Amino acid sequence: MNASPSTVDGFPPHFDWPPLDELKQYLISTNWQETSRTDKLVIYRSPLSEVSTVVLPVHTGFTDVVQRVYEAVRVLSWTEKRPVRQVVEDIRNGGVDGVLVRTHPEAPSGQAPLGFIRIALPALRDFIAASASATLLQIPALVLPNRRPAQAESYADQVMLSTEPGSFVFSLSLPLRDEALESSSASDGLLDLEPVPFGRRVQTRMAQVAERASALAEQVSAGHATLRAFARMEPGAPNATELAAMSALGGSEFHTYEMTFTRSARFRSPETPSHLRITPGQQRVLHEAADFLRTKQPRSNVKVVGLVIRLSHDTGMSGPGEITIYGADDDTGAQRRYRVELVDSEYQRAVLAHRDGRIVSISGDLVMRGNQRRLVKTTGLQVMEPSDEESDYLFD
Amino acid sequence: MVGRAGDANALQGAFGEQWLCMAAASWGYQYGRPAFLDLDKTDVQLSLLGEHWGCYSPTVQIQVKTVSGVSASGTEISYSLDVPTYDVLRRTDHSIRRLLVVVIVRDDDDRARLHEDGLLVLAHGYWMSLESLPATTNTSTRVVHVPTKNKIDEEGLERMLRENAAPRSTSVPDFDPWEMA
Repeated sequence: MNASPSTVDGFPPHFDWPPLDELKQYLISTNWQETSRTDKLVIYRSPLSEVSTVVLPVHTGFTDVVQRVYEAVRVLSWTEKRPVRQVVEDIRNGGVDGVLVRTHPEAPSGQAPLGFIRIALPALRDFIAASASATLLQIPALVLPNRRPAQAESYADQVMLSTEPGSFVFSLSLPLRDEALESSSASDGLLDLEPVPFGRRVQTRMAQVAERASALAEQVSAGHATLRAFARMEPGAPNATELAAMSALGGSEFHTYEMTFTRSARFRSPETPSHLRITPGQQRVLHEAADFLRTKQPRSNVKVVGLVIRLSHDTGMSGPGEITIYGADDDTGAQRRYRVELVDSEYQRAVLAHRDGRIVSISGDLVMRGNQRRLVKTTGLQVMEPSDEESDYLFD
Repeated sequence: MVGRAGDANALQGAFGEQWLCMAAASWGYQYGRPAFLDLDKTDVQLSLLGEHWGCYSPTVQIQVKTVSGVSASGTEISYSLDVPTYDVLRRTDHSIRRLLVVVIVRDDDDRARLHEDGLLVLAHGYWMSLESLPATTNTSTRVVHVPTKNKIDEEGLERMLRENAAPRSTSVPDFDPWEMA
């Protein structure tokens, strides 16, 4: 046979195996111990397993270096309980955590229809971005602001996607560290002074959120809880974007999927990864829960833009009053009616805006009273100048 | 044996490899092919699990040549090895040593006999290391002399590994993340 020396069964030709020196550095950084050495070989033992041993050439001048590297990476994969590709990526890129999602679209193993991919891929990214946003936000929120932190979007863009054998497996590699985001104040334990890497924090949140969402969805499906259970502000409570993303990973037909989380050995965390199976019923509940959070729950700092369609006050031609704006909020974009109580001066401006058909905007906390949406604690009514942008606001 | 001459040679070669693997397995050795598809003159890899003679998972790689009509009555077997194989096996820069095993089968295609106690598979094997042998100016083949004291039997196989094996990383199964569920 004259196949490439780097051709390994199950991997593409010329797969980029890590260089010998990078592999050795990785072993040292993850606390493998060198136990013996000859003129040709050096032997390392694992800190995690008494039976795991890695044998590597002392230098790259041997004919079978790549084979030895491959065998060593397989040992690392088995010891660290994660796929070979993620180990290789960790060695090459300074640390990655993994999220594996095994989906079951109606297709042969290893294939997926583009219609399914069109839904699942954005959902994967949304999940990461939403969890990264939640990790960054100082104040927890069940509904994220319309504009997610730029750093969260930037981090999500760095995550690498590959596939693993099976039907159909997405493999996400989350960089353990993002130099721009490393926080010196985050810490995992009482005696652990090393900050938890940002990527680990994001992955931890994803795992916690997925577990919690799955459990809540099961309770709702079984009739032991209502959708309001998702509205409890507790540590690890999933936000609406995370719920929507989880509900979409099974595609438009809610095919069952499974998730598992793998971790880099470069940083130890006390939590252990979890395996989850999200059923069609759970996905439907998650979809409803996302919608519930976005439409029924109080939200702060919501901006509404629209037309004044109703005016009401009790004191003749002057004084404070209540208006109704028909327009879109800045999160869902859906056209709805919003009631707002205004002081005298603002009410008069609303009267004029209503007379002239001018667009108005106002920000405040959105609360639900029965089926009515109200903005309270408003920051001031703005009347927009006539412009071409007004033509964007078309109503049914 | 039916088929073309090339097929017969391929079958004979496959028989020799399988004979070696079967013999090794019967004496407790782990056998297989290296994962890399470029065999680089390696047909079979033999290992012992665990630590032996101060060596962890001692391993050798073997190029198997199967011949018929060769006598093993003397102290050596003369075998005409193709030059490319000779050049690979004599190198000193393999981290796992590569050995030559010559498997001798009968001339009359009698390979296996069924006995009351089981199946008797007929062949003899002998091993040697060509490491550090001098380069050859031959262009086609180079005769090597395989000592008949290096017999493939239980004692001979142990000595082969004890004298030539190198340690190897732990042999592990493929990791399947979904089996952990």
